[in-house]
Amino acid sequence: MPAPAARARRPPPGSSPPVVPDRVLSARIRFIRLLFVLVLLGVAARLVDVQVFASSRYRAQGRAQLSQLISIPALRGGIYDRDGRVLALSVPTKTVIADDFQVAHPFTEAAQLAPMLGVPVAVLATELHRPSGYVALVRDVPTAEATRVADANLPGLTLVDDSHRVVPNGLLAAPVLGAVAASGSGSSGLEYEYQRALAGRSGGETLLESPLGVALPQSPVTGVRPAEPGTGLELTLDEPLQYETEQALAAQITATHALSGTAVVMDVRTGQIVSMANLVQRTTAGTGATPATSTGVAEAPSNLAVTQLYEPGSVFKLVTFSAAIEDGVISPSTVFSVPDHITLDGSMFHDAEPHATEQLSATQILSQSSNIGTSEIASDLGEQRLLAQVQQLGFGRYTGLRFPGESPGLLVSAAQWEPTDLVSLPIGQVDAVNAQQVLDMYNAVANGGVMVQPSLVRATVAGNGRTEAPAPAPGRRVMSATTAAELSAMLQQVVANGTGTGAMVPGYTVAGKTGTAQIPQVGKDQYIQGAYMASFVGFAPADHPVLSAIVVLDRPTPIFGGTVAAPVFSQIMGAALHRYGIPTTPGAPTQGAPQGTTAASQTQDIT
Amino acid sequence: MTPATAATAARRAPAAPRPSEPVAPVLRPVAPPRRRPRHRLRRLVAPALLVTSLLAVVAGHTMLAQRQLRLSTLQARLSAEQVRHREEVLAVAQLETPSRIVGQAERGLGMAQPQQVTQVPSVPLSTPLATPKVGPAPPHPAAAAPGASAGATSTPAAAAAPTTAAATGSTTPVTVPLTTLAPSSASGASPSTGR
Repeated sequence: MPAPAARARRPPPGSSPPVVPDRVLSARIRFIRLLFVLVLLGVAARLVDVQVFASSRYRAQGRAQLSQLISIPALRGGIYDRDGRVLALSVPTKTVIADDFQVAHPFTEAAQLAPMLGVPVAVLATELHRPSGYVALVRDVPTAEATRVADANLPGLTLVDDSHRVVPNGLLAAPVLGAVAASGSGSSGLEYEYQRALAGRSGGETLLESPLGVALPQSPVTGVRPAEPGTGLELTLDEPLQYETEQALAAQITATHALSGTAVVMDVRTGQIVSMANLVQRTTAGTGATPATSTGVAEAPSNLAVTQLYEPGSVFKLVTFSAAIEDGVISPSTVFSVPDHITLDGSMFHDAEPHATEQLSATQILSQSSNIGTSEIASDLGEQRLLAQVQQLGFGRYTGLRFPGESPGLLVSAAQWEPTDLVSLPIGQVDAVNAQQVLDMYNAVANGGVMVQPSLVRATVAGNGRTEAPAPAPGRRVMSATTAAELSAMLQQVVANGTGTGAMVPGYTVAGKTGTAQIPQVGKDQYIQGAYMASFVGFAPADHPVLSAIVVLDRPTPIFGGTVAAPVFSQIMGAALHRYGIPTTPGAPTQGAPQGTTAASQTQDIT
Repeated sequence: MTPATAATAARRAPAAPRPSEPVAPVLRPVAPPRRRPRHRLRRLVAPALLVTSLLAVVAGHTMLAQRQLRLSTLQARLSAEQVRHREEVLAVAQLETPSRIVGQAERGLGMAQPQQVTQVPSVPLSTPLATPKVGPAPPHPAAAAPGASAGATSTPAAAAAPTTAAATGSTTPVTVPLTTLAPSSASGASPSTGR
């Protein structure tokens, strides 16, 4: 076609047009063609990429822009006692949500809703008038009422799945169980510790919605992931015994005006805690003119048995005696010359009562809770052995309960050691421990020298009801069986003839120890005047121990552990032994000691 | 015209009758061959199968939808029953709480907490039960007459002191008339003396 091309390139008259050779022109045309082909190929390749290779990705992106995931909350697992009694349970409920933009007649709708929801018409009408598009009218509506609301088919109302945590026993064992926040997650106690297991996994439904976020009417559910209900917990607690324990402790707190109290009962062999009570005296804030007044006993805000540290006092003397007997330094019959006071490094230490220098056996020193006698034994042991025994018996480490807020204690170390500590530490001063650690130590004596890890959770309960028990932690031998037996015999004398006669349980032999410990002032190197922690810890039956228990009262009146804590121990332990059908001990006294009348129990256990 | 075209035209040109050849027979129309019946059947079966298949698909979908509806209904009922079960469990738990039972016992039934609990000691099954001590029988009116005392049967063991609380845990001595118990202590069984 050279002719038309030549015409097109005809130069204007009077100029000399450039001459483009035909071959160049055809090359350009071929280039343009090739360019077009390449562009088309690129478009085609992109098309294949979009439509074939990446189609799923783009499809997913498109679906995501249209889809709305509605979360389906999982039902929280229940908490049960050792016999399957409900301690805490979540019940499905509904939350009534109103989109007030869709409510044309708020007053009419409020009047219809009011009898169903039990909310005044005026309140509902006000809520339905609020121009927000999302108003949670009523939460935790029982399913029966929610069904009636749904059947009414009122415009602008939506029912959303929810759940409500119910504790049928009120506040029984509340510091142990913990609480659940409004968001549905555990905020304290076992509810917090086992949040992951209890919470389960929420599910979801995927719906289609418009780009404006409005759900497409009658649109199908494109995806459903059912919620997995949470795993339940079967605790070691025994609900009736927990009730008995709290009742006994509450009565004594009221009677002695103590600030707070703790009581724990544990299975000697397995370490399972069958009751754990933590109560406080509730007081109104006093003003300048009126002092604070008590308004009753309430559950403590936390599990004091593992979170509260205190100087244990005389109950800690078992550390000294166990080390001394284990090392052969003393035997139960070793006699010491015990004055009523000694002076060390400028500090004077004395027994609870003045007395002449006496010849006391190790058993008598323990049963009469002689501070000076105990310090004499400790001086024979030495600092290093004493510190090692403190750690050997579990102090300064976590109990294994993994309880939120648990404290391992505060121990004096060799670097911080002062000469007076050789007297202070053996009698339960200097070191700060929690009640559970003290109980673990006595439980080890009851268990033949093997310390078992305490536990609060016996098993997990799956949704189908199948229980799965965690593997028990292996026991740890902390003293020989011989030493444990000798200590047990000595501790029996504490209850039979010493400071702990108030702990007698009719029909059973009891071994234990009283404690009346001073309370240090925060930030000062001195004790609070007149403030004591009264405690008793022991086990029964002494010859075949089944249960061990500890009772601690904060600042009671009277102050002595043998007077205020031992009777509570007797009451709780008696109830527990009867509840579990433990045979009585032949030859054991059939009547308990008169409470508060024994001179020893009132005077001889102050450290 | 190409040679090939000429040859074709030649083939198509009617052949000139040859005088010596006989006259060709008269051609008559022949009835068309009868269609085979299977062809007709095939034409009927295929649409029938198609329609049947479509109907089956529709019926299957209907059944599927019905079953899904039933399944959904059952699942809804199951969920409702599970919720009801939970609520019943909770109601039972609330009814059997110790605090409620104690309150009901004290307020509703007039029961009271014991002031004191006395523990009855256990008796080991491996040891023989204590034989009740026996005391002298009350004098019979007839035996009370002078000269009749020799008729009273009594052994030294039977005349022993009655059992005390230390032996059985009971505070009341057990005294049984001789007339109702054989004097087993006479055979050598010693009474319990406490543990």
